[in-house]
Amino acid sequence: MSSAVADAHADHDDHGPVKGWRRWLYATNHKDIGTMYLIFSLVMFFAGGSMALIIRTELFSPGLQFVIPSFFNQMTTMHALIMVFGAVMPAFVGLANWMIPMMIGAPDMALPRMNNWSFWILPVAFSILGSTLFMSGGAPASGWTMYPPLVLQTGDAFPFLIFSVHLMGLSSIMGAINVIVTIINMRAPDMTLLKMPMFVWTWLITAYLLLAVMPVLAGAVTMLLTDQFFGTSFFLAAGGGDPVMFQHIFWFFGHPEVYIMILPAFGVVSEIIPTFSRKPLFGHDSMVYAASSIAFLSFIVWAHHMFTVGMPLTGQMFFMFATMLIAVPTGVKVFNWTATMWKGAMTFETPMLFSLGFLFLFTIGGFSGLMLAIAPADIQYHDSYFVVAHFHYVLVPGSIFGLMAAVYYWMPKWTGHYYNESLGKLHFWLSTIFVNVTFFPMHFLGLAGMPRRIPDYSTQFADFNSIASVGAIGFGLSQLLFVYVVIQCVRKKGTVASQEVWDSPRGLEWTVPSPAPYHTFETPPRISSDTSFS
Amino acid sequence: MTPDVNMDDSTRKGIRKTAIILTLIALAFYGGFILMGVLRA
Repeated sequence: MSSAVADAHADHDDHGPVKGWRRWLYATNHKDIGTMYLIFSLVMFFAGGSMALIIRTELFSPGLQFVIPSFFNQMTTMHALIMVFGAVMPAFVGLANWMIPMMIGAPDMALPRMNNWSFWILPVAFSILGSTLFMSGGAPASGWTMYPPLVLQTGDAFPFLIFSVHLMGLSSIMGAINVIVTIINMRAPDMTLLKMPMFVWTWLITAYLLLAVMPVLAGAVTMLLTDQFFGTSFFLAAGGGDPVMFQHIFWFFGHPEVYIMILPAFGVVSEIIPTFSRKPLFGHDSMVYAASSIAFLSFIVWAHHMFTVGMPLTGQMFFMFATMLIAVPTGVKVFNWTATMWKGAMTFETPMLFSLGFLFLFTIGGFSGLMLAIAPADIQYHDSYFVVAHFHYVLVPGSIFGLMAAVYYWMPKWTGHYYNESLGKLHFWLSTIFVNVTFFPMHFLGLAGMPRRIPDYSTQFADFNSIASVGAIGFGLSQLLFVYVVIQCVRKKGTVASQEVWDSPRGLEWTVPSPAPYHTFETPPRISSDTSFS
Repeated sequence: MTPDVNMDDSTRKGIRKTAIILTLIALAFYGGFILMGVLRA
């Protein structure tokens, strides 16, 4: 391991940000780029959320009320693409940009110009994707999975969809390379790998996942493009191709993608629970091995998404048992978080509340995932609202709650001021109540046979759909409170934060002043040999 | 690192080497999966 050294030129400590738009357009500072990622993802969160509300408004009661079916399908597709690639992933990259250099004692990310590029590609990608709503034939409507031959029926939007997915992938790959290169090369002296904080560890593993699977998605959509415009038949049965091969390739990307969206949240929770339990993280090393095991297993379970396409019994058995195996390292993590809290001097500030909400509700999503892993049962659940309930429990009170927890936890370090704790707690309780009102009834709908991705449904499903729609509107409105709390904190309306912010937290980020100076750790910090940061 | 901040040569070389290896890995996954499609088609 080596590290960056202090600059030979004496005056760099005095460099502040450039004034005006140039600071953001030409940004190379990890904190500026992290801020841009976080703001961008918040905007996308509301754009994708608005589409969810259109979906839920239509589904409030049976029959077609507000939108035509083709537009409904466009909304489900765009909602997913925007939330996955525009909201959750960039938000975690924003956190990585802000926190990884500060947590490992590095002055910045290793590749700052590429960092700038990987951010600025994103607004371009999503402008292109958003513009498809106004094209002939409308936006893509085949679902975020883009299965052929359905996706090849997309109108003028098709090449724009493919181009924007390529750009999103390019951005993610560059971000992943930057994270790995930074962690491998720029850790403070004596910060060995197993001394790294869990957030850094989970991001390192996530970055390797990104590096391995985003090119696979790019390859799949490149082949879709050539099937549509260059006469190939990779996936066209009429030309001798195999549409099921696309599903295999897509889910080889798609399942690790699930862990890309949840592993950094595991890291966040692993930072927060020890702080508010006033104890070190229980089983740090086993957490690292568990996260690595989850990442490895994520590459060998992809076909559990496609049990119904027909596959040999041995294939079904392999993917079923491999999927169930993921419960073991996940159980290790849940056990360790619980053991960390055991006999701890716990307090329940907003970041801790979101972490506990994550722990309980993500586990519900994990259990429904185990139900879906059972091949014969999955044939019943497949493409039903049970699946919608499952992955929303993983992604909303999982990934999104992890993100909310992280923002509340580190915001005083970013801004130098505490947020309004009462409003933060109100935001947590409203979010928790409404997220359950929205998604829990979907389990019942799915088990009763309601298929997903339909704008109309049988009257027997009316009651639970009405409840879910009320919950969705409540959840959406609750997030406006989050924006208010963040704006108040950024405008320095709260109490001034100390350097440590919380009660004796662990980690290098708490050794710099609040707000964190524009440049940090230009001289690598010294770490004693017995120091642990988790 | 802000581009005008120095780092030692070994760190700089390490960064370059790691970045090149990772880029090649990404390209291999991209090309490999398309090649698989070509061979299967």
